[in-house]
Amino acid sequence: MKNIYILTKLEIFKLFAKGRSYIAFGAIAFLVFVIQVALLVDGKNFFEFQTQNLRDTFLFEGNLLNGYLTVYVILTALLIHIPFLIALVSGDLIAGETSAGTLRFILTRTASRLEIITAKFITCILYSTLLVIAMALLSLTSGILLFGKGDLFVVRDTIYIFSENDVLWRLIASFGFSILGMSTVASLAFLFSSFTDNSVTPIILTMVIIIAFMILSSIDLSIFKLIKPFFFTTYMNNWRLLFEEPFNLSKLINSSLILVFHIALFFGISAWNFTKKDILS
Amino acid sequence: MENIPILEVKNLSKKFKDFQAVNNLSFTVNKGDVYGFLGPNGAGKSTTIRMILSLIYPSNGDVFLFGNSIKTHRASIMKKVGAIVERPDFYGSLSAKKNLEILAKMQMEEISKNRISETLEWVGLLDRADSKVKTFSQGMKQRLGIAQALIHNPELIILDEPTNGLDPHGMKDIREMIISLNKDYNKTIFLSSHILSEVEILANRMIIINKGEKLVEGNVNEILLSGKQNLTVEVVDVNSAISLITKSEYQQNFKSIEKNKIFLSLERNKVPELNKFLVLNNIDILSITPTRTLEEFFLSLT
Repeated sequence: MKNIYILTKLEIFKLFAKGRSYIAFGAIAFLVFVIQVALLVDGKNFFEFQTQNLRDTFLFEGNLLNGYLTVYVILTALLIHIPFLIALVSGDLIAGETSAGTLRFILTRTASRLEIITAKFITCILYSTLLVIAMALLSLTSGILLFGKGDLFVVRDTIYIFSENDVLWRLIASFGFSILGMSTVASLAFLFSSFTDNSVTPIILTMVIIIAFMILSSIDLSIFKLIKPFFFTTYMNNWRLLFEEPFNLSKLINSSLILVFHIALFFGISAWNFTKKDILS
Repeated sequence: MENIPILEVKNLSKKFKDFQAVNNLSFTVNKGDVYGFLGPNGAGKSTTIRMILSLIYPSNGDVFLFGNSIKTHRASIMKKVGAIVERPDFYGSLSAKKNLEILAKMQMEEISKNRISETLEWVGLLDRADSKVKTFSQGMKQRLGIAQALIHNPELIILDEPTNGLDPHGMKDIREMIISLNKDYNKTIFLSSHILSEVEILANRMIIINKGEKLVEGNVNEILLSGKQNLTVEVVDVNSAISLITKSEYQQNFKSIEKNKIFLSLERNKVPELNKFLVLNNIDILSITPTRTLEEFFLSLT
């Protein structure tokens, strides 16, 4: 364990010594800023458009365009696209060292291959976690500072209204669940990274798989409905369960376990391949 | 001195699909050796080195270092081994010192910052310790490669074509370092090369491989003396020299002529006799130079 701790610290240092590791943080900060400013300028129209069919039936009172709503909007918009930013780094963790030739040098040290790949995997998961935490902190603080707090009004198949006191934990839990989703994506990119000698292939493969799964999941054909439960992407969006009433805890736990299973499976295959393969680069 | 085996390669083979890269290779490197591992490009040298370092898994056979199999005692073995495998590649955006610190920590033992500075000083890079490696020349990277192989003070140093891509000055520097590591620091050196003269200068024992198989192994001088070598004899009056040679017992050794240079193929121990023969027959000699390439040496072996 001590070895893995030392190696993980080294991996984190190497990761943050690279410029590309900051691209995702920069992109999220930029997008959160742009979305918040856009909502500040045009949020009233946006909210009215969302609720136009309900205005005859409901009377809207209070600060409904509030910080919590902006965070919900950001969650909905960004969680679909963050996987690409995560793949950019996770796909490079092993393949980047293979193509640069540094893998040869680190594998001739005392540390074992299993320890090295475990440390790299921990770094990969930490990176995804940090990215989601950064997104959570940025969106929550800027949202509350700019728009204040209030009840959350969610329009889906039906209308859900959550009182101000009942929202924050749901948002935090959503970000927590998103960490699992993003870690699954990171694990997939990491898996491909262990098989290839260049870092572009795992990034592209991860993107292709996510896009393909999302497209197939969204088509309402019975054949796709049958295979949908086997796509991990199906479960990544289940943070939305937190914004339904009644709250289906068992479904959320089930989705979490399925994602954890995928993370473990992807890591297991990566570790098996990495410890068995010939280093030819 | 008693021969203590440090590295024993036993019946090592590696097959990549249909390509047999290394075939039933066996040899032993003893403590204190500078052991030349010679072969043309594509002979299987790097594959063998990678198997020694467990970067590649053998199809057959085993590698024993310090008496233990690399398959079962990798971690304890790698504490005593330093290596450069092919081109020295580092984290370009980090400094030389930071690169060494990372590799030192991956050794999983306490290596002081002083040791890192000393090593950088020894390879002549202390003044560039804080420079990013991407600004380094090939020669500097090669020296840093040697530094990373030395930071944990290993007993055996494996160098895979360490002078590849270097200019003559850089080659000389690296060769002097290898000699010093062996003579001054009692390190055992396993030196892979495709340059016969390099191994001749540095090594006491050597093996020559081709197409993954052993051609010859043993004492460098004994191996090199065993075959004929090409000689270039430069003379003042080439016509008189040719006339003399073609009428003598050296006729069978004569190969060609170019300006005032005569090319012969002759056993090494017969060179002094040839020299005496020419001088006694009033031929003024400007130089006698052995020109033996690895390819030519292969031909003399096969």
